[in-house]
Amino acid sequence: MMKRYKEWSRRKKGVSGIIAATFLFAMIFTTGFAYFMFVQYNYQLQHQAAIERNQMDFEQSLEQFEVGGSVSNNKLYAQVNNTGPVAITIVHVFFINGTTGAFIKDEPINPGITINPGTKATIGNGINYASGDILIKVVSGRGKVVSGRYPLPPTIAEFASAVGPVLVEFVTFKWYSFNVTNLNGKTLPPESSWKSGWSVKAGLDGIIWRVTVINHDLKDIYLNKNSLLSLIAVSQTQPVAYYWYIVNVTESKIYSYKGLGTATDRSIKIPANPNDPAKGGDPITIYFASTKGPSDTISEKIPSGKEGIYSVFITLQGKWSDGTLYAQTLIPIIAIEVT
Amino acid sequence: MINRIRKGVSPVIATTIIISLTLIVGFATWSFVNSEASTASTAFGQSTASNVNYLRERFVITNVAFNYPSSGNVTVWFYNNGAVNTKIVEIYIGTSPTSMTKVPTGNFTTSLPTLVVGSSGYTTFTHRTNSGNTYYIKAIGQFGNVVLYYQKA
Repeated sequence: MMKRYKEWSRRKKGVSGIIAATFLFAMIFTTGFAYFMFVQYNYQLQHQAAIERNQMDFEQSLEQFEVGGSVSNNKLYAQVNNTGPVAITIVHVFFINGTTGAFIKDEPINPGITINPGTKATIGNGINYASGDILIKVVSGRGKVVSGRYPLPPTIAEFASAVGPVLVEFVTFKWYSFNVTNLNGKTLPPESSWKSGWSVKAGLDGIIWRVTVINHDLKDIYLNKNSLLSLIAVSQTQPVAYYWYIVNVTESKIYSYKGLGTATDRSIKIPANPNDPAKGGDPITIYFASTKGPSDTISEKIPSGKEGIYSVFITLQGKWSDGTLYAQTLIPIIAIEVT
Repeated sequence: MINRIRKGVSPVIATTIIISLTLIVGFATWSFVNSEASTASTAFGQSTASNVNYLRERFVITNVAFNYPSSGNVTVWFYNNGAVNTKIVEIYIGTSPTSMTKVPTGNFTTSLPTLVVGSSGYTTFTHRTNSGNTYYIKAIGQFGNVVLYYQKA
């Protein structure tokens, strides 16, 4: 009997273990596994959403388009030129008064108009247009907002093609008087000593003029010794003109300039920027200080008694980098008063 | 010997008690774990849904018109470029990005818009603006995204 009881006792221990294992198994493979799968699924959802958002940001960054206007039958329409690598869809257009900022009209485009890369399209029903500056704002399907104006202001390149390839920077037009006539070897004054070009005193000796110019053409320009600055009186009873020829400035010292306008004789170069003619080449400051004629450094004065208003002309002469002749009178850059 | 055995419970009863206790404790533990896991799952699920919606919510302010449609009004246009429908819940306005005030609910003459994916909407509220000043406008979406915009009045 004892023996049988002991055997039964030993078997009993196995039952609890199996039940416990069953519960453990049930907990792990029902609650634990389900929770694990749920967490994994949610992480996957978040991961997928993050990827989608990055993808949307990336696609939006690829969108490149220009907005302008076109007029037809007295109506102004938004015109969109897709300059990017991906197709865009235009979903909304706004028209705003470009002068006052007053809102004119908005037009949801439904369904959106898709524009393939390299093509342009006219969008929407437009607005009645007679004149004035209009700001056109366009929204793409990916949420990019680009605006443009109608009519377009002339670009620098268009302006340069109309008045000449070299443009001056007005604020750089200044003068200085050395009070001696021969400027050969003279050191340029410090920046603070240069005076504004708006007025100059008669009777001052040794005047040197300077101005900064930018070349908006595709080719470099080399100036020759005949380039000059002239003052033409507009308030004198008799025609009066004074001239200052171009001089060479090397290491801030003034020398006569004998350039023939070629790349090989160290002529003054006004560089172009073929990659971005609208921006132009590096600005170059040119100096005029020779009243005796080309290739000299004698700078004389505007005599006393010749006070009045003068127009300033700068005539640049030389050659293009391809050897063809170049000449340009910069637009009367300024009118000065001789006092 | 026989007397001592009779004082305790029989092996069958003892085994029954042990199994019952094991089952009870086991079920209790399982229920507790299951309940806790369920609670944690629910909280985690809500957090995930919130994060996913935040990531999928995208909108832009496309235009602002001052004194439109009438003097003293400001109209703001939105576009939903995200992957989930949303609505604008708050708008702030001010003359600098660091000092903007919330537009009171009562100031809206056109209610805050609900934005379906790929669609535009607008709202109008009364706010006194001075011509020439630059105004900053901040919009907060239903899922927490914030969009800042500025424009000269």
